Amino acid sequence: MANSTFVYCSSDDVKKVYSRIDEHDSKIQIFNWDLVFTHSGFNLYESKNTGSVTQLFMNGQNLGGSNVTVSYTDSTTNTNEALDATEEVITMVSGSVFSRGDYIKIENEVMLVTVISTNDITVRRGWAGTTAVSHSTDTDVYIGTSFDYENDWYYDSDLDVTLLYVSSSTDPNDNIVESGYDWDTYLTNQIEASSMQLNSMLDHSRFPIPIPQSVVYDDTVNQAGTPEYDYVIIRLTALLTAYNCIVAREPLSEEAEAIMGQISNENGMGLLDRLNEGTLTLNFETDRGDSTQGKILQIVKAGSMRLVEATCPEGFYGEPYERVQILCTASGGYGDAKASIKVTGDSKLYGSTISTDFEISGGLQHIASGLYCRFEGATMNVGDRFDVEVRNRTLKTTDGRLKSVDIFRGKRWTNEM
Amino acid sequence: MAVTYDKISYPLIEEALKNIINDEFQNVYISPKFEMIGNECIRINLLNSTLEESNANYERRIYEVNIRYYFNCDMHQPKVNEAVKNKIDRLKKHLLDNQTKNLSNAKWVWLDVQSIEYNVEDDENDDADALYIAEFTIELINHNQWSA
Repeated sequence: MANSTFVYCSSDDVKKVYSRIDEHDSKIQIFNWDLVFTHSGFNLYESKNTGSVTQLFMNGQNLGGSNVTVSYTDSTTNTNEALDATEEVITMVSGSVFSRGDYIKIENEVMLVTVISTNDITVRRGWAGTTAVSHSTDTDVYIGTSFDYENDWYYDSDLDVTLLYVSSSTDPNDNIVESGYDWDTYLTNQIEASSMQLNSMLDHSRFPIPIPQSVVYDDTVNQAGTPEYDYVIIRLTALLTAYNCIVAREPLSEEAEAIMGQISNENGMGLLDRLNEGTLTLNFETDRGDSTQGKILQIVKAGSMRLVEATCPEGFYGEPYERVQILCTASGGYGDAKASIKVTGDSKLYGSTISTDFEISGGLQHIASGLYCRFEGATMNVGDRFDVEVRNRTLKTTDGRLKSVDIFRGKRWTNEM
Repeated sequence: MAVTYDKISYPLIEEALKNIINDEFQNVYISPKFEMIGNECIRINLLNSTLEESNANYERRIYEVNIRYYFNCDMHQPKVNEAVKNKIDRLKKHLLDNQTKNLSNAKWVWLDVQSIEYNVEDDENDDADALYIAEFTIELINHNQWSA
């Protein structure tokens, strides 16, 4: 199991616990886009001091990761004049190899091409964190990148500038441009983090970490019930996720504080407080060794008759674990309804039929090996089925909440004592 | 007895405004209750209507509508402050570009932006320092010719 992807709950669980979770998106809006150039139906915009951008969104649409990379190769043309440190129009031997938006490099200085007029190109000097300096004529010019497609974008970490290449009909200032993470991915990451956080908040002397799943109620024919986390664990994880999402944007939020109050509070009445204290117990902790009670599982019930009581007054003396099957074979009410009784045999559950026409009386009837059952209702239909899980009385009753602890004397025993 | 009436306030005023604003802005919704959608959203809420004039043939009412423009942003940054103010001006201009409407789904003989209150502070952003609110109060005059 990879810890990084371990979760106790799903996105849907979080929404059920905190319906406004979608309001706590982590995206940051990027404002103030300045036009760098316009050309052939496209505009290049820049926004400064945006902070690191790994994914860009426009009006909620994910533009994906930057598909513009900077890798310099020889343009095959050279400068055709000497440059001082401020000149912004450079005469090249050939201007045809350049495109607007190209990052070019002359010696160690990077420049951004904004206009091309035959062999004269207009540039922004000292781009990408480099310093504008003078250059000699006939110096090699390298091209690093270009913007070719609509919505191409590039984050320049040296300048802390984001460049966005859009159709000339699109002004990013009139749209919502955001950096951040796709919401589903972000929420999943928060759930993973919150699951790990919950593990750290649980009392490790009491709980195995991670908390195991368990079958809370199995009403399937072949014990095919799906193990699940206790709802209290799901709810705690969802609440932690909601709390973390809110404080990520609003650290002083009162709403977040109220949610934390449900998790843990000074009165010790939070879900986590009560869980750690032991006033709430998880399903896997529940003692299953009590041989005086059977666990009723209603598999099929078309008639109105229900199995209401399954008890072993003297303890169950059958298999260590038994799942008794009571299957209706004749419809009717008390005295008429009949059932087959199956228990473990032939090396499998339900492998031995101990009765094929057990008459349902309505009283507390002995079923098998000390197990008594009682039905209530008007009629049982053929095919109605009830299972009873029960354990042998020789199995010791245990309490999953108790753990051994190390005990030390007040003084360490020594030979001198 | 069945009452024959004209449905105006929601379809011809609120919904019409929503559709018009939605043409140029994102996350526009109609509600008396605030809900933040994304980093930027616009809430439309009809406040009241008052009679301006009526006779046997028509009724003319003034509908006062509250439009709140919400931004999740850091207004301490001058460039953000500037961009937000620009967006508010853009919304105002867009509303004024639609000063008259005589369509089946939008109907007013005049629209005025009565006031724009910047940096609104109330219970909606009491718990959210980063939430900037601009409130437009607009008036629309609906001329409703009685059905024959």
